[in-house]
Amino acid sequence: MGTGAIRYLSTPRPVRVICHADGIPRALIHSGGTRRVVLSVRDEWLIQDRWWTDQPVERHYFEVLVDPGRVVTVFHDLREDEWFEH
Amino acid sequence: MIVAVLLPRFPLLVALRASRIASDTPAALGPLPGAAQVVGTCTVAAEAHGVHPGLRVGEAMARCPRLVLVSPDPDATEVAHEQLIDRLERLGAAVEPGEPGIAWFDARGLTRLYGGLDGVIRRARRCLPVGVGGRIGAAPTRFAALQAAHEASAQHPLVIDTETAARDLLAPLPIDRLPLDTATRSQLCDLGLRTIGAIADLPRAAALERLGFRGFSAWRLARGEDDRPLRPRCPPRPLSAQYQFPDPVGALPVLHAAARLLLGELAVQARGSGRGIRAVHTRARLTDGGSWTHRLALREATTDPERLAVAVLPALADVTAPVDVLAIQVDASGVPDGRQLTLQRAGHAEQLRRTGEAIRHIRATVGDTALLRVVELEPWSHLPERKWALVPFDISPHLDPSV
Repeated sequence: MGTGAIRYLSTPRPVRVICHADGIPRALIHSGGTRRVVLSVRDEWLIQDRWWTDQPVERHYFEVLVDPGRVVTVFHDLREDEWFEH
Repeated sequence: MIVAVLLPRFPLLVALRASRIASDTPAALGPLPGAAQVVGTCTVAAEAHGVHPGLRVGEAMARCPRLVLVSPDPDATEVAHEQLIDRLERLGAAVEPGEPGIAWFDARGLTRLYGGLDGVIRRARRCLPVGVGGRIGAAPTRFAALQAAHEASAQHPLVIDTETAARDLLAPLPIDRLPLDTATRSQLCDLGLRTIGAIADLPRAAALERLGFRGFSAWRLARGEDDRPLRPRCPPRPLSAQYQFPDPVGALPVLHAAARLLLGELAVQARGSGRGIRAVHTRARLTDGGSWTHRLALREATTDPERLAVAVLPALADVTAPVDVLAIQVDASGVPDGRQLTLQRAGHAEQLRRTGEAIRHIRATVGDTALLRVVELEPWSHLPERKWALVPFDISPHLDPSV
């Protein structure tokens, strides 16, 4: 019995995001090189959490509709300046 | 002749060593989470500033601003105490363990082996950990031997040969050494009875009237009439398993799932060796550096994981902080279940059994990650990755046999 038997769900996966000048996602490029154009932004929200720990969280979330009609939740990690997808 | 081994301030020394703090620092054991805000055992340097066990934390800090409060580590203390008992048992002694840092054994069976009582004590001293100032006393009775160890120095054990000498040793000692409750002790102090000798001089009838039945046994101890024989432990047959979480876990369902897995594994090991589990010792290493332990003796030995779970899981609700490592040690020295088998199984139970067998078979073939179930971690969290997790599927009573 050891480490690794517990697996967290919805862990963030890195994704490359091309943005408009105002920071709104324009297209997502996955690790396989697949490019998906963002058709619309359905919602966006900010999360600041775990500020009482040494690993605080500051994220700008976007729920976007990508081509050809799939809803994806991505976020911009404001501390690391990196994009992730749930 | 009874030999007592005493490691003064043992829980504090273990905690200091774990925190890498020198033992000459003014330090004291801090309060456990949820307990009264008073300090525990103190170092000599802290006592020099007027700090003593039971003092409120604020008062202790006011008396000694440099006082370091160390988190108690009951798990590490248990382990160190077990190591001490184990080393003494390797001498061939039948050891009765006491509070952490205290043990007794009867030297009679060892004197010819090691060339007399001095030889036995010399060998026992070698069993003590280095640098903790361990003390050894020997006397005809268990209580007197422990008091002799209290009065001995780290370099020179104290041997009390006769019962008269034992009474002379006990007479000037404070009544704090007697197993009396606080109310009785303060009542005796009010009456001017401050030494064990003063208690021993009480007439029998007066002692019984003043101290009651519980205090009467303390009166007998004071007179050196300790006829309680040693109760050496049966060396345990420990089986242990542990689970290291990738991230600290505070969610009870995850702790339950991990504990069920460990208990299942230990039950199989015990059954495989033809033994039953008599006692379960659950330990959790907490993420803040402390630890939590829970010891449980079962009414009857068993290897049924479900009965073990019923006994052990409720205690996990008392874990005070997120857990890094969960470990369970069981004493598999009992006889296995002697339950009669039923001639005809109930349909529901049969389905559960078959499903359980199938799950065990799949897990044995493919691994623990073959069958998983979702548990809630922090459903209130804003972060999706902290809400749910997959843990190995266990055969719980909630399992629907129709699955």
